[in-house]
Amino acid sequence: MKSIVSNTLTQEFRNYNRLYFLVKDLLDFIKKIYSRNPVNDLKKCLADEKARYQFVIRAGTDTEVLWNDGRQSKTEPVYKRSIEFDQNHPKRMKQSKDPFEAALEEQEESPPNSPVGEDELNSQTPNEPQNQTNGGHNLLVDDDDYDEIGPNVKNSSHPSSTSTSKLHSTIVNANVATGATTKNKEYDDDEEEENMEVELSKFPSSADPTKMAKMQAILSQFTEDQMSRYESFRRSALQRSNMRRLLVSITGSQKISLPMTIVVCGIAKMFVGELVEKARIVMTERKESGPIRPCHIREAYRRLKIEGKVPKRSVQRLFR
Amino acid sequence: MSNPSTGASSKSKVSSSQPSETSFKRKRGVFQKDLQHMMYGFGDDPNPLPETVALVEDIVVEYVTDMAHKAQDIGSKRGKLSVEDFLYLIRKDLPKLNRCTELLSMQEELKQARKAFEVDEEKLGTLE
Repeated sequence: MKSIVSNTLTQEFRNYNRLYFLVKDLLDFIKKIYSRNPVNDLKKCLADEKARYQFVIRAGTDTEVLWNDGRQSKTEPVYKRSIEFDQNHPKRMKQSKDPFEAALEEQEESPPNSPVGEDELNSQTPNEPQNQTNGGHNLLVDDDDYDEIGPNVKNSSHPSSTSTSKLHSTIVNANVATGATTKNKEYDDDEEEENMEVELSKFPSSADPTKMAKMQAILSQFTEDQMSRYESFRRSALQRSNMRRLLVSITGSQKISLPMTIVVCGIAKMFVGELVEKARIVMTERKESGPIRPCHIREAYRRLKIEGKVPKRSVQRLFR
Repeated sequence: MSNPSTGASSKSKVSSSQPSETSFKRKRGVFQKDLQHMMYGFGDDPNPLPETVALVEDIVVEYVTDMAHKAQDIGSKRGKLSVEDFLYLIRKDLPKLNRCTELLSMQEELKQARKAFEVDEEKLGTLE
């Protein structure tokens, strides 16, 4: 399990947070690019009168967005950009697909009447693995937490990409690709989590420059082991669907709202944290090491009960 | 009143006796995979022992059950169950309370962002 944690979670974790900010960046980007006449230009892009579609080519540091015209076998450029970033970044080598780029690959394969587009794209795909990022995760509460947010992290990120039609997904890819490369520019040798914290500061509601600076300082000092543990901590979440099912069965009512599920997942996660941390304290008191055993958890639970952090049953549970 | 068992599971179903109202078949290991990652994140081994994970899951389910029952008791006074009831229950526990308010506000933000994105698509539809 550990190797999975260190490779894919790094990328997934980065994307998990990145997606949240990409959604907002996307909107700004669309508006900026079509700033002359936003709605009409967007329409022109998405529902072209010649029934063309746009596609993105990324080769090395260059990114281009082009119209593809199958009938005339020529392409018309829309947008071009060159980004300098570190090709030899170790993490970049291990990357796999971004959900938006996965949708783009889908798009590539389907259109039958665009030979030029397919050839060009196929010739570029060898280069893409080094530029793409991993999105193949699920998500939380969080699902990740932010199923919508979560890792929940888990099932979260895909609704936004898969719900758009294929035509739309290309424009989304165009913007995300260029948006992604700007973020790539900020990566250095250190962990991407630093950059996520940087991105966090763009949003006034969660921004706190001193706090962000502190986090960055701490994160830069992490060893690999600590970083992977921190990723697990941030990224793990209880599945919202399972939690919802549980709540429905407990309350007997079908009306469990989404915020309620999110809140309960969050509370449960923190409770697990309290249990595990206290179990570790118990272990150090007993001078034991290794994986946590059930006896430690039971002792931790007993102590939490005494502290009053566990709700007491008003009716005794008999005949268990 | 039994909960319809959802999906096929290779794990054995344990019919546990439940307090008063409902009895349902609870599958073992509903949260197992997530809990493994979570426990590692909080300080356990990268591969936690399966019996530990099972115990933690039982404890968490019991915790959620008790919380939900208490919330229902509170909610029944005003009519129906809402998020506020859960927030009231953890009012004394500051870390949890702050975390929950943060989660709720982030969810709102995401909802706004998504709504703004979809408005563009709608305008597209109406113009055509």
